[in-house]
Parts: sequence; C-alpha cells; structure tokens
Amino acid sequence: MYLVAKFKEQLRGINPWLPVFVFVVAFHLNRGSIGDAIIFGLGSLILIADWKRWIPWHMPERPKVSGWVIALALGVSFVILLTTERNGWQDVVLLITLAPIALVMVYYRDHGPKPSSTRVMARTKWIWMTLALSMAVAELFAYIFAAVYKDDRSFPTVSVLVNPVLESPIGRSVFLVLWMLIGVGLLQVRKGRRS
Amino acid sequence: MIPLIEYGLALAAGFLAWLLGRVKPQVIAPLGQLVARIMHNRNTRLALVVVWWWLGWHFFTA
Repeated sequence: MYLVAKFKEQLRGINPWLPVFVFVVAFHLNRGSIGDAIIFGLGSLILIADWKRWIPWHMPERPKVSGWVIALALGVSFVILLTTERNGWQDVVLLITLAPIALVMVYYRDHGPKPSSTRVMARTKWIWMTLALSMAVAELFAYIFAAVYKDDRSFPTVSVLVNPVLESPIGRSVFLVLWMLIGVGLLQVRKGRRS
Repeated sequence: MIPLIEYGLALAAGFLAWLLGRVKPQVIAPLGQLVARIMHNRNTRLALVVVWWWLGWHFFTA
C-alpha cells in the first residue's frame, strides 16, 4: 500500500500526453525509425522537465509577436521549404531553428481560470478525438498489414500516399500552406497579438 | 484499398465536423473555439507543438 501511495504521489500532476509520447517512442524504435524516436524522446523530456519543474526559470508571460514578423517568418519558411531540395541542409536548418521558437511561443503561464466546459464543447472534443483516434488506428493497422504482407501498395500509410505528392512543387506548396496554417492556429499567434 | 477508404472517411467526417461547427455552432463548437479551449492548457500546448513540428520534419526533410 505504501508503494502504491508513493507511486501515485510521484505521478501527481503528470502531463497526460506523456504516456502517449512514450508509446510513440517505443513504436518508432520498434520500426527502426531512430530519428523519429529521438524527436519524440526529446519531446517526452520536455514534458517531463515541465512537469517536474527541472528548469527553475521564471515562467514568462505570453509572447506578443507583430504581424510583419509572423508574415516574414512564414514567407521565408515557405520559400526555403518549397525551393530547396527536399531533405536538403537548408530544410534541416530551418526546421531546427523553428523548433525552439515554436516552443517559446507556447511556453507561458496559463492565463486565468480554465474555461468551463459546456455540453457543446464536450461533445465537440469527443467528436474530434474519435476522428483523430480513428485516423491513428487506420494508419497503425495499415503499417502492420504492410509489414506482415510486405505490401505497402495495398496497405499504404499516409506517408506512402503523401510522399509522391510532396515531390511535385504544387503538392509541396499545398502541404506547406496546410502545415503553416495548422502551426499559426496552434501557436495562436494572431490571438496573442490581440490579447 | 481498405486504408484508403478509412482515410477518406476520416477526412470527410473531419470536413463535415468543421462545416457543422461553422453553420451550427449550437450543435458542434467551431474548430477555432476548440483549439483555443485545448490550447489554454500548457500541457497540451507543448505536446501539440511537438507533434506539429514533427509533422513538418517528417514530411519536408524525410
């Protein structure tokens, strides 16, 4: 009983995303994708560092970024990722540069009380969570079946489908815009400027 | 073939949910409100940004 209580105490305040990340690390290790495992391993370390308060720095306020800086960053990233060779050193440098910037943009003190969850919001969360899980399960089974039957044409993962599209400039630019829009939405840079 | 149908259905359902959030916000909250709600929490912000960054890395440098 003592050990259980101690264990519970150790896990208090854990980031609920941490077990998901650890599973993803194990999954990527299992499929031999060391780079992806390292990325999610580092992500797990960031979540643990935040949870356990390993870095005792002052929790900053939400950063405010002016519109032209955002537009410039988007424009430069778009041009580099579109015009250089895919997996070229320019892409690698750009993405490695973007990582700490994105982390700084979201690492700030939570403002005000947590908004209460209405019935509509709870329903919306469940719907989107179910969709995301369905997509993840479909992708996982496609990967497993492709590995078992050695046939990724009949059981393509999303990467297998998307890779040829990314080789064409039009396809890559469409994905770039989508990826950047998701980033702007997640980082909520526009909201940060208003508040 | 089966995964293609599954991805297609998931994407279509996602589009429908997004559209419903725009035209019937009393049934499903708009996607922007949902993002604002979940990104209120630092735990989720950190995790989702890592996932977003990895997507860029995976698709543009792989």
